[in-house]
Amino acid sequence: MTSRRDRGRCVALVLAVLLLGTGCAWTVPQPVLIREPRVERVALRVGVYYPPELRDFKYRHHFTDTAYVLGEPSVRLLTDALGLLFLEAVPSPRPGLETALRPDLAGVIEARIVSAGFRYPVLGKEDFFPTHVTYELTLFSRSGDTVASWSSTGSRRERVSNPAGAVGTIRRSFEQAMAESAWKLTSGFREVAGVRGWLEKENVR
Amino acid sequence: MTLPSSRSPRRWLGAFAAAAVSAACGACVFVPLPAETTVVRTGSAVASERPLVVTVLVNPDDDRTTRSLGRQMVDCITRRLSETTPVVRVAQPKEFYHSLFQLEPEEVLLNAATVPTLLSRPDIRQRADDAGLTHLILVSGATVQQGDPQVGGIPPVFLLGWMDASRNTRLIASIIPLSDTDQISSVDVAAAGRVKAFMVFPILVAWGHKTESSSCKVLGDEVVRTLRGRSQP
Repeated sequence: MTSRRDRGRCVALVLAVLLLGTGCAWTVPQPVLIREPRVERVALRVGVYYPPELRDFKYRHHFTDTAYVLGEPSVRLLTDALGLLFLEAVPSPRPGLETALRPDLAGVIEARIVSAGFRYPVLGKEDFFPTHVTYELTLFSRSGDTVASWSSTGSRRERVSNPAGAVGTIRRSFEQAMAESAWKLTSGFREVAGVRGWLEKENVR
Repeated sequence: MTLPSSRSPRRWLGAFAAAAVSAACGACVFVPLPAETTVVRTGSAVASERPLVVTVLVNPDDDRTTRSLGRQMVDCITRRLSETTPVVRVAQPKEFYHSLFQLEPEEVLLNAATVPTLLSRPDIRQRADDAGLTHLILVSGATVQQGDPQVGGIPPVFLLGWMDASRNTRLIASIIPLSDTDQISSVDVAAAGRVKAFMVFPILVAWGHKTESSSCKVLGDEVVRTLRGRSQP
């Protein structure tokens, strides 16, 4: 049963975000790359393409009109994550422009954010802002054919003990959800359909 | 123009501040009461000839644990463990992460899924052995309070309020031996109590069971007991 105290707490959380965040664009702390459990390195070099939609990505909550800048931190995080998975991950032009590709690159990976956001706590039942970030990577061959596409979601439900810290909690939740999502993306790479065949074609175990 | 001293803004401000402070704090009385606790232990007590070196971390897998309660639990256990030195030494989280993974804490994902894999890896086990680290303790917990405050009266002349709420705390510590992650012991402490308050503005009197500090203290005692291989204190 929902108690009046719980309802009051939820209202305080919502008001805190409303008062502190309305109309603002908050930066999100740069996520730290998770290095353990380590991913098994692939002995190939790839290009990485970040479309403008990813670089400029901001999550904007409709209710408070509060924006959270996720694009730039994601670019830095994914560059580090792919650098850990492959021998080298270098910035690359749009997939399919084979002539512009460095000859030692086995393919190009395009990264996107397909979903991100937080929602307000369910009245009287939650004292956290469920937050998630879903990245999607698509691997293209040198000629621009799609080899594989996969996505993963990182989520966070950090409890808010002080309503005045609600915005800080949401920013931290985004940061940790991004780090988790990037780790899942790279750690599950070898299990993605299509990747095994591509690795065999490239003579890599 | 100078105001007469009795109407000086500074004097009014001072009087207002004094009234606010006395209303907010001076007339508040809270009587904490110890709470009854119950303990459930699973797994066997640790039996070791050599000194133990343990690290206590908040379980990152458990979203229910608030940062403040997590810190309180870590403090309770480390404080109690430090009394047992040199039988048990507490290694700080940085020392744990640096020794085992040669990384900063944020660079390591420790959760229910990754702990068994990571800690059973031969290279990590060897590093734990070299550093003399023996155990990892993961703590988690939550407090649930249920009850509605009731307020009535003719504000601001006469204001009456009261509250009667139940308060339940549950704290868990999982003790993981770094040499064998299958031999996990756990201590589960629960405390139940009530919080009651009565207010006739500006006087507030409240009394209640301090479920968190009571169960936290018991958790520290029980962890020490388990680590020292004793079933009794």
